[in-house]
Amino acid sequence: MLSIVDVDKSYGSQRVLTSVSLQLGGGEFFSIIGPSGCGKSTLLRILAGFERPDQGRVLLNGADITAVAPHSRPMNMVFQRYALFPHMNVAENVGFSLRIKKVEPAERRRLVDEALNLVAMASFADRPIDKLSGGQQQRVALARAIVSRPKVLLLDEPLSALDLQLRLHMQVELRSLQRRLGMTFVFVTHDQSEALAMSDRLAVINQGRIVQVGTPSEVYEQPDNAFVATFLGSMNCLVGQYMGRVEGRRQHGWVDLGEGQHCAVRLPETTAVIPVGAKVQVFIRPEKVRLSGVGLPAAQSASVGHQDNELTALMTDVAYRGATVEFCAKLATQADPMSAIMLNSDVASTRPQVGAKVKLGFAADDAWILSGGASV
Amino acid sequence: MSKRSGILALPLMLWLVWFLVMPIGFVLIYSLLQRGSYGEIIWTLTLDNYRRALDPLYFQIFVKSLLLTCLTTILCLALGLPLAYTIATAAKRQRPLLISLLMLPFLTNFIVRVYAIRLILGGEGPINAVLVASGLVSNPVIMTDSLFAVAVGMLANYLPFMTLPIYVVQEKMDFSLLEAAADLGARRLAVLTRVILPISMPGIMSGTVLVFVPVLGEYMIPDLLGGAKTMLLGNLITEQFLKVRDWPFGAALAMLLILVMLASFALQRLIGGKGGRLVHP
Repeated sequence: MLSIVDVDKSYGSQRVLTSVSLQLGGGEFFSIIGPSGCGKSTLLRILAGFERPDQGRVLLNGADITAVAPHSRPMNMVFQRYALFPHMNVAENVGFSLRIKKVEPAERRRLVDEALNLVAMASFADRPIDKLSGGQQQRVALARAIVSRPKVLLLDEPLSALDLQLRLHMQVELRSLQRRLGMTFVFVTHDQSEALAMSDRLAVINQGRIVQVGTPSEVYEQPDNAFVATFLGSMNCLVGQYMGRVEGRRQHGWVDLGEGQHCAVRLPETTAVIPVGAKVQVFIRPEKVRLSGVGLPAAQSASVGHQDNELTALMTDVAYRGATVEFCAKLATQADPMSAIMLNSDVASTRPQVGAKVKLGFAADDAWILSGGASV
Repeated sequence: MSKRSGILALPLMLWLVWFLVMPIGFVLIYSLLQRGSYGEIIWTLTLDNYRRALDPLYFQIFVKSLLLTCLTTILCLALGLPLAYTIATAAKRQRPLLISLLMLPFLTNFIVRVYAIRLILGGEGPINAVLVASGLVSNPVIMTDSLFAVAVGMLANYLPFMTLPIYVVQEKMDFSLLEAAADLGARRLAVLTRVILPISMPGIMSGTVLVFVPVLGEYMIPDLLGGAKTMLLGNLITEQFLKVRDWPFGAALAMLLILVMLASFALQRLIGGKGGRLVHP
């Protein structure tokens, strides 16, 4: 429905986007995520028409809209700082695009009410903008952008100015709004949990290039490279030496972590052969690591004991996080401690003290070495 | 007002009473008195001075002054708005330079500045030199001693008073508002009329007052650039006080001038509504 084809963009000598291509489906909630300065906002501004790409095209339903001015694009944007008109009240702000299109006053009022109802702001129609809280302004900005039913809604980090509670609430509301309207949402954020929770699909951008596109679970569980692996969610990284395949198991290999410790890992699906003896990085999600001896009996059988790998480490920290508990333990040969995040309800009340010797277990399938950028 | 802020405002209050309220009171009293044959004041109350001020001979000076003031204000607005916008949208480093360029004429004496305009417009001036040299005219065009010269002088002197308050408002404007308007379907003209102008309104109102009020009472510029033919309200009043020595009549004219200004304030409030809050640079 919306396609970005081979888009390049530079500001002076500064390269911002390099051959970016994306295909978005109709009614899709699509997130663009990356660290600040990665070019994601520029990409959104190209979609809105505020910036012209140096090269490449933007297609909407097959029609080239690269050179179409912002006011003629059937897309609206929710700005990071909302950009509500200070000299208009809530209803006038929401009705702005309808006024420009010379919609009849009665029809305009109906559409404004409908949009305000969608964001639960109907009772605020006559309020001046400066009498609204940040969350309310956010809703008004949303209503203003959807009132004339654009084909695509562009959202530029719209939740970043809200406090955590409100942000989580708005995540759910945005998602349900998008489902009800069946509109394509392009959502730019630097918050990985936001992108994972809300998107149908997402694109990870780093230094102006798209590094991976996929559903949240694909990108989280099968990252293509070290950047995606570490950018989305927290990640343990162990450095070791590749020792060859595990006998009898085609998809698993051994990695030597030094001082007699080794672990079995899943090998990349690509056929690129990792030379034996090569230095590799092993990635394991903290929630896939189990600490032996602290699980409750019921959880124990499922987690510890049936693990492929068991590493010995010294406890360095326990962080209680309410729903979860994070254990940090350091392997003698590794620079950074390994973290294990377990559900509070799975953890017994007796926990190992800092300085105690513990065993960390994880399945070979949950530990990857990445092809390409993974070798150091 | 709290007790403390009342005390803090006391010096200003005394100042205003001493140098504003009392003089206006004197002017009001004088305007109701009579003039003796040697210019002395005769203490008999009369409305004759006001009756005389509304005589067509003087009233047409009133109307002419008002028209010229409106024209000057509109010209200042027409030039000041784009100028303020240009400065407000310039790179942040360049803005102080542009502002000081705008203020540069104020480093020289007012009279010198007005005389400079006289020279520029005059028969020997650069404009005529170009006109004659290019062959467009055979003899220099005399542009001084005319209403046109007065308007040019007013515009040159009062443009900064219009530009600065508008700049102050626009400089604080969130420019993503313009993108938002464009995104919501507004073309450039609609962005101007529906977003930029309404948001600039407090500055426009302030600038209008800052130009309108002094221009209406201005007497130096008409005197130096208008010649004997161009008598404006300011000159008329000055003349009554300094040359004719008819203080009661001069006072009546001054009172009428104050009335017109108060009326224009009221009008501005009426038009401006909420946007009419004054912003001063």
